[in-house]
Amino acid sequence: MRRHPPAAVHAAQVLGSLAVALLIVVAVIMVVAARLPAIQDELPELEEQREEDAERQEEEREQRDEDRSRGQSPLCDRAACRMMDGMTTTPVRLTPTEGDAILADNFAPWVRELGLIVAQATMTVDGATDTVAEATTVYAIMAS
Amino acid sequence: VDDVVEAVTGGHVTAVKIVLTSVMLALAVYQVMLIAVGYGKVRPPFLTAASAAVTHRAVGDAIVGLVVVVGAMCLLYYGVEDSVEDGAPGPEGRATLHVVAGFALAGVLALKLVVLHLWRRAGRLLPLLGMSVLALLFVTWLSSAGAFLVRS
Repeated sequence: MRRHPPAAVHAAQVLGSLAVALLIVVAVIMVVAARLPAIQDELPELEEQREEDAERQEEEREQRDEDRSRGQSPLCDRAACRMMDGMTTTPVRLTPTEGDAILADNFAPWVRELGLIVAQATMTVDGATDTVAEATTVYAIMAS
Repeated sequence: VDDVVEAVTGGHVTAVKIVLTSVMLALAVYQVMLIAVGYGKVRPPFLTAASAAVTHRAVGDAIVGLVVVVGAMCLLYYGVEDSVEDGAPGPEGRATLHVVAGFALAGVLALKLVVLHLWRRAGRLLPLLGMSVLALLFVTWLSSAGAFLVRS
């Protein structure tokens, strides 16, 4: 029988024992990873994240209730409309003709000559519920 | 620093810590087996003392690296105060035990490295230091990762 030189045996034993260490690492990772889904609700950073989400949702709900009590449009709940804080957010009802009249009264002739008109547009708001139905039709100033 | 730690761990800092500390503990147990062969206390036919000693050294280096990484994550991300306030579930004081055991582990591990590399005359302390490292690793794991994993 052919005998391995001591150096080769030594190297093989070292590599083999390192391979065992690697197997231990893989096994531990698999076992712990399998357990993690069951305990993820108790982990601190996830708990903090959940609390932050709950606080944010609570703030949004309070803001919606406050807007409703002031008679403002539900559109104000939208992030884009929040940028308009301080501006009139109550839905304005007028016809395109009335809008053109406002343009004529308030804009200089050279501005109107740019081609500004009042047109009717429809905007869908997050799946349009009954509460936002009145606000789904808006009038926008746009270039013709 | 928090952002870096969260980016590296994909936002699952505690989960990654639990995995790493569990790996460390398992490797530490394997280290005891290896050094038992290295000291000739156990003589398996498939592993010589010299080979076991070499592997023990390599795996030990890996464990030191993991201890440094996990320790840095603990201190930089959670800090001592947050660790005590928002520690693992269980009896009050468990998180404090985790902090104390963690610092003791770092100290004993540093002393072991000093004995290995600089203060060789104290080599007779190595078995005691090694067992201390294993015990402190176990306490550190049990007071944090173990508390999460074992809790049903």
